[in-house]
Amino acid sequence: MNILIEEHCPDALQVVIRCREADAQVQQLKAHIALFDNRLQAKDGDGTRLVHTRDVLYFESVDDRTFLYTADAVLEVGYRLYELELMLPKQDFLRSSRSQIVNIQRISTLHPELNRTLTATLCNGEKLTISRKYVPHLKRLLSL
Amino acid sequence: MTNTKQEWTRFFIWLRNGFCFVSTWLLFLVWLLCKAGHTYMIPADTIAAVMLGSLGGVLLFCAVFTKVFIRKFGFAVRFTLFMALTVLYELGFAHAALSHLHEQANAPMLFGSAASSGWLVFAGIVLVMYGISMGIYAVYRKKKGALYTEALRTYQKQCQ
Repeated sequence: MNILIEEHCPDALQVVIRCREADAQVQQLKAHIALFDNRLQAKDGDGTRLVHTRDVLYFESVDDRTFLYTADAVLEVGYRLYELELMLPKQDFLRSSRSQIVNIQRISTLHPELNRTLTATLCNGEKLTISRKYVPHLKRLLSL
Repeated sequence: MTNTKQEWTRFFIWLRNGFCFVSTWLLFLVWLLCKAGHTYMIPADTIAAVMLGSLGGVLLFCAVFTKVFIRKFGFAVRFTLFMALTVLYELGFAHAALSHLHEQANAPMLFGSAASSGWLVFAGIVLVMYGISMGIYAVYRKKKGALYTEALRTYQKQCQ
């Protein structure tokens, strides 16, 4: 793979992938580049669309498939949770349980439960459980 | 803020462990006094069994409470366990003491016809104490939730 940088272009920053065929590897590369701009490529029915990470409420893994939830849509992404954990900005996203990553910026309230978990109410009213294992990390993040 | 919290936590751990240590030795000394013949109404053997049991319990509590229980269980589980063990201990103690007092009458305060109201009062006290404690904990959780939410908002503002 050759990487070329052309300077002094009049247009805005542009990345062009030239290839023989847009196979899975190329699609993955495209998704990585999109994430550089804080956008994730997600499947929406038949097509794909780019979703800005700030619009994501949380990611959830169900039956080996990963979904992202926005305020009005559920889309499938081609990454595992551990990959997303590495890729997403650490100050904005937190692993909240074995199967979920939550956008901290989209949490509106936190409430401790009897079993030492935390219930996070998201801006759309949805409630997520932050499991005991991940509560200390959140507390460290919030300087508690 | 975190440092202050850690210092307070450490203080309470030392306070609890110190209290357990002192109580253990107090119980041990009471048992020694009873053995020496200064009993009031409970025989020394009964005291020996109960006090040694509590001695073991308190030592176990000191040894494993912070390391094992606090890490593994939430407050509700720990408190329920504590209440259950306390009730068992009180029952054992009452049984031992009252059986001795009413040896001839087969402990009417525990097993007699008049015992049911006594048991009801005992159960009532335990349940009311349990309810009040859980109520206090619910208020505490609510306050803690407000504190967490406040910290979360501050964090969100910092990140923007």
